[in-house]
Amino acid sequence: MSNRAIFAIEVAIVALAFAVHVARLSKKRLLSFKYTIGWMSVCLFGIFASPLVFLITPLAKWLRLTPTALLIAMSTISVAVILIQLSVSISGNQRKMETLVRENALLRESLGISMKDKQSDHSK
Amino acid sequence: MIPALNEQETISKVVQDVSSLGFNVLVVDDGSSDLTANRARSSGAQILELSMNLGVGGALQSGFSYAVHHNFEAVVQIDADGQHPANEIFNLIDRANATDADVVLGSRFLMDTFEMKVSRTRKFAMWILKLVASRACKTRISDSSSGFRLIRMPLLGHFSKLFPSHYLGDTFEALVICGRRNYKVVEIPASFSDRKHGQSSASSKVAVLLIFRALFVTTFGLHFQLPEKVASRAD
Repeated sequence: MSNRAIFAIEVAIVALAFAVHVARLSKKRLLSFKYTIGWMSVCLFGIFASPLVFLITPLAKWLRLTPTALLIAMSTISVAVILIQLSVSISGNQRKMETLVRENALLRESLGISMKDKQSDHSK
Repeated sequence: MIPALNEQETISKVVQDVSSLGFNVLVVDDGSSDLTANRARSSGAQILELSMNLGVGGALQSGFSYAVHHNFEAVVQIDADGQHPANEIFNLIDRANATDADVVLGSRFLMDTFEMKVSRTRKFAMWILKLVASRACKTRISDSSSGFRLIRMPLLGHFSKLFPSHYLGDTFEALVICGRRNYKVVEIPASFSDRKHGQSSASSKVAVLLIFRALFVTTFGLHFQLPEKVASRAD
């Protein structure tokens, strides 16, 4: 078996293991459905694209890079894209949380409910 | 409107000072861990209790929403530490009515007696803030970080939907945003007193960094955009 075939199998195995891990996280509800689908897509891409690893060397040559540099560049770009997407998601959640806190305070005020049951100054 | 974070020592007096002048007082408790909310309530203020700390801007936005829900035409923002003179609220209102301004700012630097004790770096950074704010507002702004101010409709309504929550976002950035969209900002002298309890929200070094952050945001227009002001009330 050629080195390329072995490398393709290794990539597929890693992607499969990653998919299993994602499925477990999802089952334990540590990962929302949206992110499960996203990561599963990445894993499927890894599994089905693994036979195409033989394209890396000619592509690297065409870009005047070494195969290693090309792989590092592709990984870095992928990670950066994922991080930006997650940052957007976190920012959105932060905005929603702030809105929720504000709405909660307004609702409590309109209902005349105090949030904290602290001791009054007199009982101190 | 008084945004407050752990100001149990001063909040009662500030609330009493303002309510004795006949104004409705709203204290926005920004997630205090002390008795700020209880003391403000027993002093006769309406309270909005935020379940977590959102920063001054977040607290203000909550207060603006309250004002809009209760059909207030304008709000006056005043600090909970007792630095701002309650009796000078009338000056803000008079100037707002006389000039038709959307924002009236109380400036400590317009008082001859005021002397600021800060480092040279911070003084320089604040000088740049002044320049940027003045240019945006097309008028001389001497105290772009003042938290003693009046804001009226329709700006109040816009701010209830979107308002910067980070340090200097609620003061300097908000002014720049207003000025760039042709909302009228005017300044009057106001006599601030020294803080007696608690401490400022940012140390000197951090403040300098945050000032440069605010300059970066305004220089590159990374702040949110208000709707353009279409016509003045006088029209």
